Amino acid sequence: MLCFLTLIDNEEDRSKFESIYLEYRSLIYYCAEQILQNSHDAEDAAQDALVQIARHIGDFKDVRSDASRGLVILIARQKARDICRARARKGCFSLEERREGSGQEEPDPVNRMSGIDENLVEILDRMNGRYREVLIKRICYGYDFAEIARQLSVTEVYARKLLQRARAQFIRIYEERGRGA
Amino acid sequence: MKLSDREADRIIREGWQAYTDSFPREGIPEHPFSPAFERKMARLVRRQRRRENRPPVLRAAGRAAAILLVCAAVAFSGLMTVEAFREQVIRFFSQVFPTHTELSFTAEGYGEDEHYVLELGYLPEGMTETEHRRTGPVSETVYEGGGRTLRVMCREIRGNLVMSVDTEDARTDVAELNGRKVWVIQKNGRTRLYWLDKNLLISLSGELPAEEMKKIAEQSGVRSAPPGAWENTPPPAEEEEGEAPSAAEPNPEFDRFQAYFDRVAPFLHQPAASPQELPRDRVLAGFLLDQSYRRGVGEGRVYERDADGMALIPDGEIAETAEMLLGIADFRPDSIAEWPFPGGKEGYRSFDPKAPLPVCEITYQLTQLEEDAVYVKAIVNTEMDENGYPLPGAALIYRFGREAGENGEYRYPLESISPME
Repeated sequence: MLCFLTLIDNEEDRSKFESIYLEYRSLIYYCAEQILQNSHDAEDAAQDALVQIARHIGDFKDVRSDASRGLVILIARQKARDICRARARKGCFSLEERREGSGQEEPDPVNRMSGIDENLVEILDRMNGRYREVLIKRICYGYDFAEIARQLSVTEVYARKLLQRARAQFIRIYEERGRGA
Repeated sequence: MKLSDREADRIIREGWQAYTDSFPREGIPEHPFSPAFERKMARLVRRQRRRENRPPVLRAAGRAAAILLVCAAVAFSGLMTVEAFREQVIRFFSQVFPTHTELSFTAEGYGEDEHYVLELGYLPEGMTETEHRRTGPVSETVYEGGGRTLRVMCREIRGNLVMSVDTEDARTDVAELNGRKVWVIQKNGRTRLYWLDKNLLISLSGELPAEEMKKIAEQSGVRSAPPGAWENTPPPAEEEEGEAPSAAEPNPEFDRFQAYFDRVAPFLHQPAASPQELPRDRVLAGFLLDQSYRRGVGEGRVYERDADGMALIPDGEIAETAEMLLGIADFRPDSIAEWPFPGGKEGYRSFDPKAPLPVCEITYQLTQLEEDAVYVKAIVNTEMDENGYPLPGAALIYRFGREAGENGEYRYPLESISPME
């Protein structure tokens, strides 16, 4: 009977990963599904994302914070893009083809999640993964350099350098897209 | 004009915020994940629970300790194993068909470099080893003498293994030898024995009398493979027809049943001659809520939420679940005095779909699917020590019915839970 108390325990009694898993698993899935447009691949991406979250559980402080939610989305998106690329290498038809012409639109619970600034996320997708992570953590969630350095296992000086390079890469891609003029 | 750093930061901040805000914070529909996904995640959650619950000193020293433990295990393999420090489970399924029996094994928790070999403690007089070969995870040794042959095959189970064994017109039996369940198949004057030890599936086959074969099995044991033993991979030789089990396609029903059982055992692990005998308590209520919600979501229902975000499950659906999965007709939810989640309203019970399952580790499992029944022998551990490792649990035999549903998938109403002898 004692063990059954875990069914109604409070969040502090769960592992942090368990709390993130329960809180965000559907978000992770729909984020990946939005990119992959395929339920099976989206589950694979969700699984990869959750494994990565488990490995880096120390990077998550408050489970329900904006920063944790943002990191979860960042990781889910990254894993979905990885699967996209692997699929493209194998010669499967591309996401763009599917989106634009197939007419295979299925009822999608994320259809109502509209208003996404695809330009920004597309630029982020084109960036080096480490740069992207530093950029989001520092600029969007205000991580200090000591924390970023600890998470990336680099020195604080190098973390600052990474941000500088990341920002430069972002500006370059942004301007290449003709948005900087 | 070049974009300034400040302007770039603003674009990133606002763009990313807009992107993350495009996903609703509340009310994202719960996605019905596949059973395979659920199982993998359940394992990941269990592992993480242990890692995170480990005392900080152990957590920090975890990597070093793991290396030390492996070294110790190699040096003193007879005295100490790493098994006690890691969940190692072989799940075994069998499904009996008129012509053959399908077997499925899943190994969890065995390290990449962890190999075992079989040692025979007894051989009939006059028999000597005449051949030994290894092909990948399979080793095969042949003994001959007195015009008789004994073939010993060991297959290391990594991940999932599915195979089928010819049991048409065969006499089959399960013997308990040296504490192990051994499956004995006799057909056309030949005897085959199968059993599991560590992550090895071992089979003996030959023309020897069954009792002599059993004696060989009884006096055998496995030990850690000596260095170099596992790398030995001579060219494959042709399999003798009818001796080795043939590979089979994975059976999706095994996966589906396992996913279901993984959600039954955490709630129901007390002996009961029939589901009617299950105590009408919060545990049973938790099981019924969990299964009702999962069934409802699977069928596309969206549940109303109360002010605390709890899903409201209609009493009628709970009663239906009790009838479908426990065979309890006319189940009345108000026969349970205390439900695990507060709130609810007339005719509905509250349920938090994000609530974790009760603590439960299945450290041993044999499952047999028959035409109209499923038997599961399992050791179920429901309590953990201070380091998050399972304490000794109950050895139970579950009997489920096996009924085909309208969509072709089976459902498994519980019939009894009895202690294992």
